[in-house]
Amino acid sequence: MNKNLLPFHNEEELIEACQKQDRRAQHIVYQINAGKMMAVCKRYLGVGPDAEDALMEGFMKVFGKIDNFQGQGSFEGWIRKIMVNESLMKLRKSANRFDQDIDETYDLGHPEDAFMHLGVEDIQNLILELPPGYRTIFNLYAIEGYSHVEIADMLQISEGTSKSQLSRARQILQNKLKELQA
Amino acid sequence: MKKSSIDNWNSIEKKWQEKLTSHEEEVPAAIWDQIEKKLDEKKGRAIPFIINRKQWSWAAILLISFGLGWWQLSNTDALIDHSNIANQISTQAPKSGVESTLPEQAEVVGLGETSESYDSAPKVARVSHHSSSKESQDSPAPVASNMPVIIESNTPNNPVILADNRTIEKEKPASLVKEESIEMLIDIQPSQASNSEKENSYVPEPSKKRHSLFARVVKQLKHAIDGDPVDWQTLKQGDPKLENSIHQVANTYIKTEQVVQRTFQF
Repeated sequence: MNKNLLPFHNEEELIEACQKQDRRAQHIVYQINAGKMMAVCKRYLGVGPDAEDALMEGFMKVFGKIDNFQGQGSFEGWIRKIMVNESLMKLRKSANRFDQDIDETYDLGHPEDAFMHLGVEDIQNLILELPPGYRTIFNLYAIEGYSHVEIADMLQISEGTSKSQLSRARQILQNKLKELQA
Repeated sequence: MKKSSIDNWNSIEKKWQEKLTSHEEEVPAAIWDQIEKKLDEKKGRAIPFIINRKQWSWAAILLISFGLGWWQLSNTDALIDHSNIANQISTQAPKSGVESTLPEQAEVVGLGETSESYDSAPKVARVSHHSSSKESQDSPAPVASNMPVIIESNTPNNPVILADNRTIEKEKPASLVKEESIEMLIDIQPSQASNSEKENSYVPEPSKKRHSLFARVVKQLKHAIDGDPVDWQTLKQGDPKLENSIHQVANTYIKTEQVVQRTFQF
């Protein structure tokens, strides 16, 4: 039994209590997930008040719509989706466009071996240095695992734009790494 | 070459995915306080709405009940108007009595023919007589004397025709003894039939049972539940007082609903 869930015996009980708006259960859900979700929000929105706002509003949605969680897939995955959507909404509000400039794929060379051995902090910093549009598509594709079709649907862009922005993001990452190594 | 570079990227991104999904960031403590505060606000707004919604719905139910009750009490005598029914009986032609007075010829109508063929037969009067006991068989429906009478019995393919006013009793199977239906086609001389006879021949129509208001409301509600079109107009049934009462109750209910919506609009 997970000690973090106490006094609830399992995740189902915890979710059930949350559905009854049990404040203790809500706090446990927050304690378990807040750190990971903060990392998600920061990856999209960068360090600052926007990420904190997205986290807060995301958790409000989690507790408000917990009745919609049918138990299909993991609870953490469901919360993560809400956080990603909340972050995308914040990006849209700050007038970020995801379909800007490029409509061609870039010829990428082989990624450096150094990429494999980067630590979490370095990876996060590299991603945060990407322009918001590329960063969003890189995060959605490479980290969250969405397909180009899904990304195109989520961001209201074409599939081709999603692909080209991903290859552009990869190219920028490669250049950044070279700069770091030099 | 290009494909292998994409594959390499995919494997790198998978590695990054593993590292980043389990990564946790420090969260300021104030965030939970703010969430809790917002949840309390939300709860605070929801509770009085629920209580008030219940109160309002009870108030509306009571109001409707009082309205309908008041109407019913003030209109109890209007529900069954005996004198009105009596007037209707005296003015309406009886359904089971003499229907036509045009004489010409008697016709024999077979059992297989439909009622349409009875009605379409011109210049022939028809007398239906339904008896359920022996007594009533002995005293058939009054008709003018000296008229040729055709008696049609329900016995299959055996219509009995008599030249006079006489009736024939035939032996019948046990299943038909209890209830017997005889139709007589009568050639009537209208000049011979007096007014008093006509009046006597009327069998008073059983008074049409008028359902109570409650029964009608329940009927309409049943229609609504079944998904059939609901006709609330039937509740009025020509009573202007009820019409006013219904309008008053409906208006009060709508006003109450609007007040509730305005009060709890977020």
